[in-house]
Amino acid sequence: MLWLCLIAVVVAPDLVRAQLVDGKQVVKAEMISDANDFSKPFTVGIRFAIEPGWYLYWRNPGDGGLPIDVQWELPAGWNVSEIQHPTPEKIAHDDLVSYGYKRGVTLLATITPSAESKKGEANVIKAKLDWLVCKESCVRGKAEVELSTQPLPELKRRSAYSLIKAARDRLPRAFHTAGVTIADARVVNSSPHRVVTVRFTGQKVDRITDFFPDALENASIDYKSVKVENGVLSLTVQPNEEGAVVHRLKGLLMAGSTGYECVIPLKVH
Amino acid sequence: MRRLFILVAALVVSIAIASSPSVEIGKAVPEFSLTDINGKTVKLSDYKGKVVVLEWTNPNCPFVQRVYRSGIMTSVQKKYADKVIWLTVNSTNPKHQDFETAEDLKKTYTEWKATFVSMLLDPEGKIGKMFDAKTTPHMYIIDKTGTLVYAGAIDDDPRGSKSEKTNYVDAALQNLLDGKPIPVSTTKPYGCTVKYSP
Repeated sequence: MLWLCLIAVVVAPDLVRAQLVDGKQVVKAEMISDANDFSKPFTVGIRFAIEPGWYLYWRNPGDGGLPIDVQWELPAGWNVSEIQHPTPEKIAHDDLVSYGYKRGVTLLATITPSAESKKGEANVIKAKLDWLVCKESCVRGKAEVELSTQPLPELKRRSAYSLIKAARDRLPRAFHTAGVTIADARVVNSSPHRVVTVRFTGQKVDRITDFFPDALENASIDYKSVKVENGVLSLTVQPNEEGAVVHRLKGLLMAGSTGYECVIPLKVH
Repeated sequence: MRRLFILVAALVVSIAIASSPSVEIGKAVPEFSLTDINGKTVKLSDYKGKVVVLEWTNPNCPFVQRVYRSGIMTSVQKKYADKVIWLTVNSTNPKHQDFETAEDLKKTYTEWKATFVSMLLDPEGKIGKMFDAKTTPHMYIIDKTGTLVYAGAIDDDPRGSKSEKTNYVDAALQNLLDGKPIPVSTTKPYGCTVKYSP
């Protein structure tokens, strides 16, 4: 453990903060945008470059870990959308399951300036970041990143465009484009657990390979129990309180590495 | 087709039941024994009739370091030191870089002012897997009758950023010792994954 010496450094001008573990930068974070005109709604990306072998966590980290947290500091009157998370990958360690990103990830958000904003006006968007990065062991990381809304150098804008486009291409798609429909979805009491089964039908039902669930508010998911076989998704959950009822399941229906965002209402039996 | 689905669903339920962990909320915890950091064999039945807390730990996990250094874990350990049997369990496999010898563990937890009856070593991960311990920390409470009554997180603050937090273990122990029902019996544990042997 002695080799795990964590040092945070700040590199101007983008306040890129890196974690040094054994002399290597594990995560580098920066805020990017490909916008020309910051007086209209525009996309920003929080870009994380990750050292090979390490990974950051998705919005639901799974059995362990911690999602990336972003706390925005915007100019007065500006608004920001919910963070959009690209489709993660499943990272299994024995019976424990995590969902995350290896090598790198760009989280996306849309920023809406105030009605009074003018093109070329200098404003600064800031974000405080908090993450956990793991390989064999795990290290907490924090950083503050910022973006100036003055015109960006063309090279930098192009580089941001490529990263944002790649992130957009990895965003989960709408469920109705998956080529499947929900034929039956139910939750059955097998005390102390509840077993969720969802049957999908449709031309592309054979393409479904997995399901990456969002965490439930009133129950804990047994992530290793999640499986899709012959178009039937099944998983086990444990209610947190006696009498807690699981009414719906949210998450990504996976067809290979493509995720489809879905919300599944459950019939309680 | 509908009948077939119900049949499949029933099959899934039965498979899920068959493959469920052997330790479950509301059920008696099976007997187990482990060696502690002093080389002594400790059995669950040694503490029959007492409330037992099991705390999965790994001193190289940043979540464990935080809950110890901030006093979140140690304050509950101290509060119930004369009322419950607190057993800390380390299921880190010896080949993992987080593995520490018994001597190093003693040194670290002494420095952290930990209060426990025993620190148990589970290098093969057998007991961790029996409990389905997923993270460090991951907490379990066994009541005086030997029934598992709580499994989950130490508190509701994975990032350590809340000014007002709920310590689930403190609340559960308080209710249990007052003879009241435990309102939340399961929570999602947070932390590093347990470093089981592959």
